[in-house]
Amino acid sequence: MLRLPLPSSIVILALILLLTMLASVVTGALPLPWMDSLSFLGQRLTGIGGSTLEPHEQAVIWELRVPRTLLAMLVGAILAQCGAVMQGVFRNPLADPGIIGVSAGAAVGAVLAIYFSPPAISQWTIPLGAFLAGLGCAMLVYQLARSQFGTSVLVLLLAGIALSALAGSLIGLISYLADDARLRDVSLWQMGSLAAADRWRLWLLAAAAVLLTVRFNQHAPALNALLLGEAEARHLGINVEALKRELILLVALGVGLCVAAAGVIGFVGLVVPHLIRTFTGPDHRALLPLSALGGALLLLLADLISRVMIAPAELPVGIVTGLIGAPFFVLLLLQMKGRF
Amino acid sequence: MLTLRDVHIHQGQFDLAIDHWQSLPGELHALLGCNGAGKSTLLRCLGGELSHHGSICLHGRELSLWPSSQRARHLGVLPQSSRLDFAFSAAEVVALGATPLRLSWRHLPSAIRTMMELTDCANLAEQAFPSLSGGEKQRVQLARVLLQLSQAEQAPFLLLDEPTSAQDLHQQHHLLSLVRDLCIRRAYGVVAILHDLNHALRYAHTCSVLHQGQLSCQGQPDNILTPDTVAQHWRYHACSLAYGDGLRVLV
Repeated sequence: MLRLPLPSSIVILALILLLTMLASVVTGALPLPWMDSLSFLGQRLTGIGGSTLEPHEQAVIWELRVPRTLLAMLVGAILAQCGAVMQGVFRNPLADPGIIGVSAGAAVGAVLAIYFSPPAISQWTIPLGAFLAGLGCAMLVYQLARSQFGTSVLVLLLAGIALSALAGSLIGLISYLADDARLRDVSLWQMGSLAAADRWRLWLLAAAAVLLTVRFNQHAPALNALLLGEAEARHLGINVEALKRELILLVALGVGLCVAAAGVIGFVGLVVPHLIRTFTGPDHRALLPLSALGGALLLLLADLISRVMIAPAELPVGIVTGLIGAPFFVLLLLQMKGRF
Repeated sequence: MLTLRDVHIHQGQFDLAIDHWQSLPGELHALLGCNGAGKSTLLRCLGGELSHHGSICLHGRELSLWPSSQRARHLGVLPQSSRLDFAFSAAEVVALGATPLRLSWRHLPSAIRTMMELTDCANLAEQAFPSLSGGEKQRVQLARVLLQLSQAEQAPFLLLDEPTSAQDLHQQHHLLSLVRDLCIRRAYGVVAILHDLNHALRYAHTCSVLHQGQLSCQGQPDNILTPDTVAQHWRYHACSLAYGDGLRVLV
């Protein structure tokens, strides 16, 4: 079986990611010479040398493109890891937070927070609302889909449809009830974008990314054992209930914060872990760190495409990930056909 | 020693009640009985999977009081069948048996290889586990459980749920001689659900027969498995034939 060694995979992915980061910083609606952009970046990071760019050009790079690049990477890394962990907990390669309705739930939480909370505290209440509603959905779907043989794909997907439909209606209802100012906030948020990368969001997501990466990796051997089955994992000395509780909580936290910061971005959590597994196998000790890198890379590429495809306008990045992800999802379904 | 005392389990329509039952290290103990007699329930209960009244002790200590990783090194369970949707190789599945162990990564490959050779599946090491046949999966899982028990400080107990159900004739006997060997040479305690009474007669040191959720009788297979008890429990009139070395078969 094909198994690429972990260290070299990490180095290769990290190098590609670095190049893509640089490409993301030098690309955009405002054409800037890429050498000058890179030297400005080097000067900002190391404090050596000067820059030939105009102040407003410097602002485009440092205030817009760099934060946006970082936000795309953080969101991608969190979503991909959450997807991988969800698939491990559900013992099912189709369990992506977007597909099973967790992201949709988080979106309802975020919209409720926009509607009900005063704007002054909304930077706290939106992530919190998204987290709580996402958590509720994750637990509901888990209870619905579990059986003694793991989780049923059919119930997972149906629960996802039901929750997404409910979420759509609730968001529609809130939009209907909202006054003009709130309606504007809700619709703006719903479009979801990586452009609104303020410092607060970046710090919040960076903290979440560190927490999730550390905890997920500590649980990687237990997740491997869990793939054998819950009873088997228990016999191997794993405290299965506590493990699942913590992991579902962390996934809801990660997905909630990502949805609050950038809107619903689908399929990253499905595509990335699946691709990584074909190269390194299902071992979570390799899968999780590589998914983090791969997710960062995929979302950064998707964002890059969304910015250059119809420049100077941009596509919502969710459309690009959907275009990549949906056909991929169908392929996966075909592969799993007959195992429902 | 694995001991049950005054155990009551209530599961839906089914009740299992056992006053006293035990399995000793160095013995292969066969759990017998017709379908629905409570064999699987008893085995799951021994594995600590069911909530119950009464006490289940492993080496004199209540099962639920064992620290979980230490318990895992002393009590292994081979499920009857298993489903895995992720493409681990067979050797990677066996490696999962090392989860509760303290084993350096340098020693792991040779330990895996040893266990896979024991259960006659070393040739499958690189194959994808989901693509194996039922019997092959079961042998790989057995290698995993044996690895899990390989660092026990006291006699380990191995619970087998119909270990021969998916195996061909050669593998059935290979597997049963292997676990019997582990009992005799390394003082393992093995409790196995068996359906073939001749397997019990030939390999088991002791056996117990369950009937409608009760322990009907226990002892040496040769004394227990008479045509009368077989007729009483299985509603089948068997004929007992003796062949060399004082062994006998039921037909």
